[in-house]
Parts: sequence; structure tokens; C-alpha cells
Amino acid sequence: MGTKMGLALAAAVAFIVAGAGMLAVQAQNAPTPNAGKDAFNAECGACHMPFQPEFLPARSWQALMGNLSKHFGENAKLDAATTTAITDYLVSRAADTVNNRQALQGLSPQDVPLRITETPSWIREHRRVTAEVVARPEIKSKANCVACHRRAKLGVYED
Amino acid sequence: MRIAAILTAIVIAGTAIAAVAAPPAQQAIIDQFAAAAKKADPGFSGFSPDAGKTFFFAEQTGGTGEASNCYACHGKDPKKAGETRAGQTIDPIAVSVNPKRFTDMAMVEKWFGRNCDTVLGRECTVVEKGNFLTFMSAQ
Ligand code: HEC
Ligand code: HEC
Ligand code: HEC
Repeated sequence: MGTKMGLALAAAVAFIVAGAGMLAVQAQNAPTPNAGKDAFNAECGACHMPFQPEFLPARSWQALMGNLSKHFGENAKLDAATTTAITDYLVSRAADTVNNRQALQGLSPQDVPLRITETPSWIREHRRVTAEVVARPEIKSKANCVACHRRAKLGVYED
Repeated sequence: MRIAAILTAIVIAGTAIAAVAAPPAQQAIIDQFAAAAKKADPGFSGFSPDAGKTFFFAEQTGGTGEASNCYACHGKDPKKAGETRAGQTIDPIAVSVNPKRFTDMAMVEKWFGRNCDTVLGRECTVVEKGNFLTFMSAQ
């Protein structure tokens, strides 16, 4: 192998390595499509199940995410980057974004429900669920979807 | 005879240390709080597991949230699972039954930041945090 060709090869290799390095850096900085979803599952699943974004309109998620330090009687604050990533994910799958008519039923555009369990749709679906049942120690809260819907985390509620 | 005495001394010293020190991963976190405490107060002489226990069971005022003590969620027995207000299980907070506890500084600070505000309406002091971790790491 002549020196010239060797040099050219070395330069080419160096170029490729540098390029790969740049790609790697970019991949680290750019949020992956799943970053918001993974952060949502981990962070919002710490105190209750990560509720499916399809149950509330985008404006509700934005309101909730904008006030995490006052979250239903608890501080649930996150750093700014994680908050943005989760908000973007929730908005991209919100009831009005994906046109989930069932969840939006009875809501006017001015309504900003902060709870799924306060939406007209949820209330109607649970009209036969009494307060006594919810108060049972193994259920404790309307927001404890998994206590009644075993496969709630998979988005399955028909049971 | 002398060797036996020395060996006994070493064994005694060894058990004494084992009785107070947290496992290495937790100790590394506690050491960071100790360094901060010493910086703030040159007279700082170490964390107290007893004060950590008192803190865990204390009824607090001034909180911004619904809970007014730490055991509301973590439970009165740190070796058993706790429960959030939404009914979800919280893994035990005691290190002996849950060795993953207090091994990630970002996680530790995130939850002190939230829970101290919820329960006390302020940040916990470095000494309160160190006492709490020292107590739970020995549980
Ligand atoms: C520190 C604990 C904690 C964390 C972390 C947390 N929440 Fe909550 N969340 C609560 C509590 C407590 C309630 C009220 C539960 C109840 O009423 O039973 C609640 C309720 C909710 C509700 C209303 C449930 C209903 O009744 O329909 C939504 C929506 C919600 N959280 C979204 C989120 C999102 C999104 C995140 C992540 C950014 C999050 N939560 C993280 C504690 C938490
Ligand atoms: C106390 C028990 C209980 C809790 C807690 C509960 N549900 Fe339900 N849910 C029910 C029952 C009962 C029905 C009605 C089932 C039926 O009639 O077929 C129902 C129906 C539903 C339906 C309609 C299912 C369908 O077939 O279309 C949805 C969606 C749903 N629940 C979502 C939720 C969500 C989200 C939560 C938590 C925020 C929740 N539920 C909490 C008991 C519960
Ligand atoms: C409202 C419920 C609630 C209260 C009250 C509460 N905690 Fe927690 N705490 C949690 C939850 C939920 C987690 C995270 C879930 C997990 O780690 O399993 C947690 C985690 C922690 C962690 C992080 C543990 C780790 O593995 O690094 C520390 C430290 C902590 N809590 C300290 C406290 C202290 C100190 C108090 C009282 C001032 C307190 N908590 C009160 C719910 C609570």
C-alpha cells in the first residue's frame, strides 16, 4: 500500500469516526420519539398508574403540567426539560388530538377538567359505582383505576 | 495472648463500625450530605439516626399538601410497603429490605424536594436529610 493511499484511507477512517461521533452526540441531545413516553410512565407512574393521555383534552394536560408543585394536595414537581418532554407526549395523544369523542362528550371548549374522574363521560360510565365501593380499603380512590380494571395499564377497560 | 487481645480488639472495633455504618452505596450518598453539613457548620459532628427516627414520626405543620407526616405514605413500619393517596403500593423505604433505596442522588433529592414541601412547606435542611437517611439505612 502506497503512503498516499494509506494517508487517504486514514483520513477517510478519521472522517467516518468523527462523523459517527457527531451522530452519536446528536442522538444524545435530540429527544428520541419515546423520551416523553418513557418519562411519563416512570415519573407519572410513581404515585398512581400513568393515566392514558386519550382521557383528557390537551388544555387539561397543559394545565396539570403547568402546576405540578400543587398537584391534588401533593408536590409532584419535575425539572423543566422532563416537564416539557412529558407535556409534548401528552398533548400529542390527548383526547382532542386523537379525536376521542367518547372522552370529550359533554365537555365544552371552555371546560378544563383536571381530573378524568370529573369528566361527564367518566361519571356516566361509573354511575353505578357507589361511594361505598370506592371507599373500600383495597380501592381507596376513584383514581385507582387498576383496583377495578386489572388491565387498565394496558388501556383495557372493558371488563 | 497478645495476638488474641489484638484480634479481639479488631473484632470489637469491626462490629462497632458495622453497627453504625450504612451499606457502601447509601454511605456514599450520606457522605455527600455530611460534607455539605460540615461546610455549613464546622462544628458538625455527624448525623443522628435517633433524630432521623423522630423526624420520620413527627407531626409537622406548614405543609402545602394533605399529608402532615412522612409515615402517611411510607407507613409506620419502614420495613413494610407503604401506599400513596391514590392507593398505589410504595416499596419499603428501609434499606435492609429494599437495598435499592438511596443509591441515586438525583432520585433522593427529587423526593426530598417534593415530600418536604408537601409535609413541611419548606425544603428539608441538610441535617434533617442526613439524619433521615442514616436512620433508614440502618433499618
Ligand atoms: C407525588 C405523587 C404524584 C406524582 C409524581 C404524580 N401524581 Fe398525579 N396525582 C397524585 C395524587 C395524590 C392525585 C389525586 C388522587 C386521588 O384523588 O385519589 C393525583 C391525580 C392525578 C390526576 C387526576 C386523576 C383523576 O381523579 O381523574 C391526573 C390526571 C394526574 N394525577 C396526572 C399526573 C401526571 C400527568 C403526572 C406526571 C407529570 C402525575 N400525575 C404525577 C399524585 C401524584
Ligand atoms: C370502583 C371501581 C372502579 C374504578 C376505581 C374505576 N372504574 Fe372504570 N368502570 C368501573 C365499572 C363497574 C364500569 C362499568 C363496567 C360496565 O358497565 O361494563 C367501568 C367502566 C369504565 C369504562 C367504560 C368501559 C367500556 O366498556 O367502554 C372506562 C373507559 C373506565 N371505566 C375507565 C376508568 C378509568 C380511567 C379509571 C381511573 C381514573 C376508572 N375507570 C376507575 C369500575 C371502576
Ligand atoms: C404523599 C405521600 C408521601 C409522603 C407524605 C412522603 N413520601 Fe417520601 N416518597 C413517596 C413516594 C411515592 C416516593 C417514590 C416512590 C418510591 O420510591 O417507591 C417517595 C420517595 C422518597 C424518597 C426517595 C427514596 C429513594 O429510593 O431514593 C425519600 C428520601 C423520601 N421519600 C423521603 C420522605 C420524607 C423525609 C418524608 C416526610 C417529610 C416523606 N418522604 C413523605 C411518597 C411520600
